[in-house]
Amino acid sequence: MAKVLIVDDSKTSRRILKNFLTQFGHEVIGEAENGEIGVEMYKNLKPDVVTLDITMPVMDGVEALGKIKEFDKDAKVVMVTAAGQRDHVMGAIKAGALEFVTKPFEENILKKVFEKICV
Amino acid sequence: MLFELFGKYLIDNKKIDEDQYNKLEELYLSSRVKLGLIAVAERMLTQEQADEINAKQAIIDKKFGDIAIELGYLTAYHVSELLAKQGSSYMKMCQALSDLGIMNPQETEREFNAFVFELDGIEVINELKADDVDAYTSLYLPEKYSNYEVLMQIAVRTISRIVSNRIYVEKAEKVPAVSHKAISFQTMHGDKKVIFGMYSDDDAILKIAEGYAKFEFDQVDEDALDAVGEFINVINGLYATALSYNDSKVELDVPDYRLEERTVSAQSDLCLMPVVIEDKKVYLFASVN
Repeated sequence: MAKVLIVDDSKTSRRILKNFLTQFGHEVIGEAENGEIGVEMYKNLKPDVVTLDITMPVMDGVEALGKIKEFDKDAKVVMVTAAGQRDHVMGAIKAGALEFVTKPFEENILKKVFEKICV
Repeated sequence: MLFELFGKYLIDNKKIDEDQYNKLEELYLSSRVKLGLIAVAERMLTQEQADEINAKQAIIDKKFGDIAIELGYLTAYHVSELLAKQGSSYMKMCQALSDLGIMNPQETEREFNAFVFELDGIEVINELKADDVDAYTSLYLPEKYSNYEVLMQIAVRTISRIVSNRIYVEKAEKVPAVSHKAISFQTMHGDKKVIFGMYSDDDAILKIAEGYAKFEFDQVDEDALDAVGEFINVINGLYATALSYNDSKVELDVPDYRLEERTVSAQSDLCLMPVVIEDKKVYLFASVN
């Protein structure tokens, strides 16, 4: 079971993701609506895993990833993306994100991603 | 979409009434198309030959296709072609109209051809018979080969896939702007400037919100518009992917929604397309420059 921080500007997406993760047996310990808040919450809560939406106001997911990795080089990050953001996703993977998932969320894919990174 | 649009055409042209439409819908949704009907509709058999085979089938326990082959009316290849068409939306419509005694397959074909002619869709009649959502969407746009055609096709297809397959489009128009108190939209920038969004006059937009979120919303509030914004993000992401295949790059901006009267416009006119989802109307709007 992992302690997860969800960072996404969409309340709906945060709720959907939280529902799935709780169903899988993980604990959502925090939610942030933009990258800037997400980075601060990461430093305070020190989750096992953080999910980062790519497109967010104030600070996007790619920038937030960089700052989280600066703070914790071993941070386990899952990028959340719509289709069509392949360049951002590739950049994020190179910058240290472990995995990515696309919206709309598919339960089986999400489950497998978390099983893989929570080993 | 074939059922709804052709059904509407039949009502508008007084070939059926509302009561018959409702009965047709029930049959259409549950129908299993008979091979004999398809064979006659496809002119592989005459009605007399189909009747002869049906009569034999009533007394010997053999499949329609097998009897047709034994009588020399069809080959095994023909039968396999017919089997492939059994799931066809057009054939299901033919079957339902025939079962209700409204029209035989030849009459249905005449009416369908007239419907397609009215849409100026003769070139894509096979796609329309196959219930191709993209083909129908294109025919209901204000102009052919427009900048926004692909985006609208992706939008309607995504609604059909994720929200409900009981949808149909209505004639779109070009407008200088859209104004409403509950609009959700997203812009994209880069090689193209794109706006895509949606709204509805009543709570129809909740169909989109609930289709995406997979949970219910009590009213059209900011949470519901947020869900609509996420759905729009999915559509635009797919569009961005489609553009990338032609070496065109766009960045998705943050979805925009607010529960207040506002006006959205673009560099050029917006295409405004009504989409009816389970009897509720949502308006899609798009501009691609």
